[in-house]
Parts: sequence; C-alpha cells; structure tokens
Amino acid sequence: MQPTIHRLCAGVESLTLPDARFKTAQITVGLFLPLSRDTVEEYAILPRLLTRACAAYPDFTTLNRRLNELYGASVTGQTMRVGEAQLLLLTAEATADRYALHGEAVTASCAQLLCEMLFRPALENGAFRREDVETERRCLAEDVRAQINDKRWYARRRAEELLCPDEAYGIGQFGSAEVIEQLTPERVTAAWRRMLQCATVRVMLQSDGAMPQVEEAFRRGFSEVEGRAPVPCVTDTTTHLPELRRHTERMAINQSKLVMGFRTGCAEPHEDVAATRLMNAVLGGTPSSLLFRNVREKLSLCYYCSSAYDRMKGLLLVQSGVDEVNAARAEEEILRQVEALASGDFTEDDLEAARRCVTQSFESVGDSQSALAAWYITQTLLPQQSEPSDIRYAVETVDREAVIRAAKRLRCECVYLLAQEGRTDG
Amino acid sequence: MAEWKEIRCKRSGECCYFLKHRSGLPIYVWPKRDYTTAYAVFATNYGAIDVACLKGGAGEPVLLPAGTAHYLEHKLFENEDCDAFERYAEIGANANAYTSFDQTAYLFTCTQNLTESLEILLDFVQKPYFTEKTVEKERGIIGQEIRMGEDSPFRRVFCNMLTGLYKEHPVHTDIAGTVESIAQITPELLYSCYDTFYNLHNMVLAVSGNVTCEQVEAVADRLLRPCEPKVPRRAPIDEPRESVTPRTEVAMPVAVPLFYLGYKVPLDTSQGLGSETPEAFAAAEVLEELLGGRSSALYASLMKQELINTSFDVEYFNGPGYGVWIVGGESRDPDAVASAFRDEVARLRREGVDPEEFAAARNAVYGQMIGDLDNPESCGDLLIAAHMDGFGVFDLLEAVASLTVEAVERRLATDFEERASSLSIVSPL
Repeated sequence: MQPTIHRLCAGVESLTLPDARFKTAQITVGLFLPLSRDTVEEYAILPRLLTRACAAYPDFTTLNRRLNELYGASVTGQTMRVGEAQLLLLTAEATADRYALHGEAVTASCAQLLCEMLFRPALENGAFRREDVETERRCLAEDVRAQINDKRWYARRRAEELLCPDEAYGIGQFGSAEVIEQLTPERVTAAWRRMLQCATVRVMLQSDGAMPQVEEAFRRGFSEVEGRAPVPCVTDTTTHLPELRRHTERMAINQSKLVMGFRTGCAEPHEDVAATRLMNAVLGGTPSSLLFRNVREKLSLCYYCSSAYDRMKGLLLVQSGVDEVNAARAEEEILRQVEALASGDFTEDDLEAARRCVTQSFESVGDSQSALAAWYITQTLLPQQSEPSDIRYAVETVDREAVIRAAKRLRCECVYLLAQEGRTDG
Repeated sequence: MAEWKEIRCKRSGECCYFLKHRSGLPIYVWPKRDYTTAYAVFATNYGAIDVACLKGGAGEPVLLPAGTAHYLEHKLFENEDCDAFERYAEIGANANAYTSFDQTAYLFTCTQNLTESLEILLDFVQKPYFTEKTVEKERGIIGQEIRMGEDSPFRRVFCNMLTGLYKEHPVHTDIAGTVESIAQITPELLYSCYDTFYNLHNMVLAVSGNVTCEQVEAVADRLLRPCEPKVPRRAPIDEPRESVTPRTEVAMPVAVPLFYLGYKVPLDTSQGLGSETPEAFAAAEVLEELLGGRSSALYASLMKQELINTSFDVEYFNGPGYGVWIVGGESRDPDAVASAFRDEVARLRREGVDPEEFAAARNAVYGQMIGDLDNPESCGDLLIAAHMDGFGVFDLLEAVASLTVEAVERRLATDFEERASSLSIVSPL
C-alpha cells in the first residue's frame, strides 16, 4: 500500500494510508520543533495539556463522554526526540467507520476533536488554566524523576548526556524536572502559540475513508494560525568529543550497567545509513550478533549486551548489564568485537543472519498501525521519503566491504558505568 | 488433511481453526488475509507455580527449587548440536520465550520461511539436551538476570505485595528464583521436569497471521512424536482468606514512592486450581475501568489531590488458583491512596454502579478487544490464553458484549476485603 502525501499549507502535509484490514482508524499528528535547552520543557508539557481538555470539552467528564460516544475512542499525547528535533505527537484511535452501529462518521469526528485540542484548548483569560498546568507539570516532573526507576533506561540517558554535553541531543525530550516545576500558564500558552507558528507538521491518517474531511479540518486550522513560519529542524551530526570521556556513578544497586557511546560518522541522509544499520545488526542488534554470542553466551559476562543505532543522530550505543568486577573485561571484549568487525573478522553467516533479521523487520512494518505511524512520522524531516520495502532493498544490497567500512568509522567517545555503592573506583 | 474445526466470531467477522493433532497436541491456526507476518507460540501448561515434578516424569514427587521452570526455558534453546537462536537466525525469524507463573512459551515471528521456522520450533522444544557443563554455564547468565530483577523497584513492589498476600499458594515465589535456589538445579532435575510437563497433551500450539492450516499440519505431521496422554494436575491448596501482612515497606533508589495495594480474591482451590468463568473475567475487565480508568471518579479526585500521577492503574491479575486486584502507581502518600480506594469501593457498593458509566466502560473494553484482533501477535496470545483458561477463543469478547451491571456488582461485593489486602511500598532511600 503506497501512501499519498498532500501539502496542506506551509510546513504542513498530510499522509494518507487507506487500509481495509484494520478495524481501527488512527490519526496521528506529529509536530516537529528544534530541540533546545530554552524551550524543551515548555514544549514537552504541551501534548499532555492539549489532550486533557479543550474549549469544547473543558473537563474530564465532558471529554470522556465525547470519547465514549465515539465508540470508546482514545486520544493520547506524547513527547519524543527524533535526531535533534522535539516531536510532539497527538494520536486519536477509534473504531473504523464501518463498525459504527448507526453509520456515524467516527473518523472525521475524531479528527475534529484533535483539531479542537490543537487549535482551541481550554483557556481562561487567554492562558491555559492554572489548575491544568499545575497537574500536568507535576505529573511530567514526576515522570522525569521516575526515570531512575528503570536503571537500564537511566544509564542510557546518562551516557547520552556524557556523549553530547554541548549538543541538543544530550538534553533528551523532556528537559529537567526542576524547570518543568517552574512552568507557568503564561509561559506554556506562549509556547503553544509558538508551536503552532513554528512546527513542521505531518498529519497521518490510517483509515478506510473520511480522508478529505480530515485533511480539510487540519488545513483550515493551520491556515488560520497568525504569523505561521515553520522553523527548520537541523541535527548536528559532525561534532566529536576531543577525547574519550569516562564517568562512573554509584547507586544502591546489585547489577552494574555499562554503556559505551560511539559516533558512527553516518547519519541521515548519508548514503551509508543502510550499511551502518546492517553493521549494527551484525555487532549487537540480534540474538545471533557478535556481542550476544561472545560477551553474553561464550564468556557469560552479562545478562544482556546489545547495540542500538540512531540513524538520525549517527550514534551507536552498546549497553550491557554486568557485575562490576566484570565491567572492565566486558568493555575490553566489546571493543575487541568492534575491532573484529572493522578488520573483516566475521563470517558470511554472521552477515547473512543479521541481514535476514533486518530485512524481515522491515517486512512486518505494514502489519501494525503503530509501526506504520512511527515509520512515516519519523521521516517527516528527511529530504527523501522511503517505504519499508526501499530500506529492505537497500539493506539487501549492502556488501561486506560496506559493513567493514561502516565499522571502521566507529569511534568510542564515552564509557559510562552505573555501579554499586560502597565499592571503590578503578 | 485432518478435519479442522472452524471457530467463527460473528461480531468481529474473524475466524480461526482448531485441530486436536493425532500426536495429542491441540493446535490453533488463525489465518489473517493480506498480512505479511506470521506469529507462532508453542506453550506448555507449566510455570513458576508448579513446585513439584515426578522423578523421571513418572516416579515419586520431587520438590523443585524456585526458578526451575525459567531455567528450563533458557536451557531448552540449546540442543546437542546447536543453539535454536542460531537456527532461527539462519532463516531470519525473530525468536523469543517467556516463563510466567503458569506457563512457559516459545515463540517466533517471521515474514518468510514459516515452514522452516515452525520446524525449528517443534524440533527444539521436543529435544531437551542438558549436561553438567551446559547447565553450569547458564547459572552465571541467569544469576545476572536475577540481580537485574533485584534492582527493579517495579518487580520488588510486585513481589512484596504477593508475599504479603499469599501464604500457601506458590504465586508468592519469584519466577526467576534466587541465586541460592538456582544453585540447586541439576541436569537430572531438568529432565524430570521436562518429562513431567512437556507432554504434548499438556501443551498447545497457536499460529496466526500469514499462515494456512495445511502449512501447520504438514509440519506437525512430520515432527510431532505421539506421546502418552498424561496431563499433570495442579493439586489443591488450602489458602487462608487473610493476607499474610497488611503492609510492607522497603527503601530503594527511586524518586517517588511506588506502591501496590493488593486484594486477594476468594477462589475455591479445594478441588484443584482452575480458572474463573469468562463472565467473571469480563466483569473484572470492566471493573478495572470503573475503578481506576482515566474517566473514573477516583482517578479525577486523586489527581486533583496530587496523590497520584499518570502511572496510576487498577488491574486484575489472575491465574490458576489465584486472583489479585492491584491498585498501583507512584504517590507521595500511598496510605492516603489506599484509604481513598477503600472509600471508593464502599461508595460503589452503597450506591451501586451507574448504568451509564458501566455502559461506557464496557464499550471501552470491547473497543480495545476488537482493536487487538488487528494484530497477529495479540491473536496468537489470545488463542493460548483462552486454551489455558479452558475457554473458547471468542468467549471473553462475547462475555464483555453481553455483560450486565449485576455481574460487575457481584465482583465488587466479594473481591475487596480488608483482611485479605496488603499494601506494598518501595520508598526512596
């Protein structure tokens, strides 16, 4: 199924993907803004604030009654990071029109509701209501503070900060809890207006009908925004740290987390992105990868050891859960595997197993609405749009030399260790 | 071809098929047109709550150290000649496995080579290979997994709640066990366990998505080895009505206190450990929404008082012989949340459930269940869950659609007794 892209107005496009297999219709609005220390918190709170009420449905009760009328539709708000852009996502999901008992236009009504939330929020004297802001900033700040509950996640975030001290990427998508707690209704309202003016927007529709009405609702909404001037989102992919940064943090835990941050020298729209993807899969992206087989299986140094490649920023992070006494050995072994990859010391089977794993993952994207939404929304800022099948083809045709070339570009720039309290460093 | 039984759901238009294979294995296939992915699960009705097996699969009962089912799951991936992960990798399938309280499941998704992937699945699960050396090697890996679990405040708050609720039922033991308990696991023990529980009559296979019955049957005919019809029965448990302790609190590196308030539900386990009815399940699903859903009165009120955040949830968690209501999340004052929850239950018992709110909650649950049918993985999991519970595939959907407010009120009346509750808290250091 090929999507259709329409330009609705400056910096706003719709992407429609009709699909009769799904019993649910999904509308996703992705708003991209440059990730910046000055604005990250005030933007991060907006998806929550906008989806909790709007002028037409100003409280929980009226909004939920409306959602129930729409066959138990749901509206969710999320904040994400794509390269060095902050992505604000509003998603509505509802039963497809053909399952409505009385022929109601559920999808179009959901789009209308999303427009109400986006363009006509519940304001009081021209600003978001104090009570709404206070609740949402408390919840967001608590979520940010709760990141420490998941040690794996926390360690990754800390490694990103260590690797990108002066780059927007290091901020993360939410910013700091302290700043969030200081947000005022006035500041958040100004951020909302600026978001409508400056964001690059993609509205994605997955439904078996109602496309023109939905497009028209968003076109009208954005056309009426005064002073609309989309600001480009640019990701810095060239910065390097002058030397390797190391940091050990101690906490009352049982298992240490080792995270090694690499620059790949290859980010979108670089021609070697497919090769770097495949290289990552050979290294640590699958259960048959070099890291899994050697660091975990052969040496039993850890419970997990895997790598992940962020093609938007060009970073590759290797993450491992180890006993602290084994951390140095695990680090050594991880570097040895990177070295092996760069010197071509891997088998044809390693390469082909990784290739099959990556290509199959692209084949299954089309079976899930949320995977499709993630796929197409993420590409909003790229100069060239691709289908999952394009990437599959690109990965299928990457040769061994290109994988070696991608591995040779890897440069380890930080080593972060979250370790047990009560032991001494080094 | 053998005769497959068609199972059709009028409400959703979905259709799947069942075959009791001549080997003894129950097989379900749910073909989904125009999908690329196929998903397969091969599961045995054996999990962490099964604390004894028969020596050699037929002799006297042997007590199992905590974590045995999970250990066995890890080890089964390794056959004499190679590792199942490597075999899957050769054809590009994405494989995994899990052990829960009451089952162990081996699964994969693939977009090509379904036949070969199924062959691997049915082959390695039927070929246990445990030696001193391979069992020893796994101890380090699982030890690390256990330590990782010990660092998770979510796991701690959950386990402490179960320990606070259950005295006799083994649901209070950790699925992965402890470093000490897994030290006792030997190859002989794993073989005895395997022979007791990995009998095809005690197992089930479900395949959904891009698949046909013919494909599955052909592989099953080739690879399944008929076995004696022996199905281990879960023995009765005499679980007291009262909880073990009303409150536990431990400190860990967390930012905001985490809490789980648990209520042990009265289930008759004197004749063995069975399941609840689809209607009782459906009532629980809807009651979750009414008590703690985003549009519930309690959620709004606790939010306003700044006692909860968006992590708040009310959930019914159950399995053979156990059923627990969990009210959980993060709060600066978990005791105040617990008290507000008690008041809300009392209010609903007194005033009854509002019919309009009931209808809205039921619709929301129903809509979610219909939406899940779009996903081959949810379909496969639904087949396994329904089979293990002894339901028809679409019974739960049907029970939700025809649920009455009285069924919900019945649960409300019986399920929340203070003497059977336990509040577990993980507070900041």
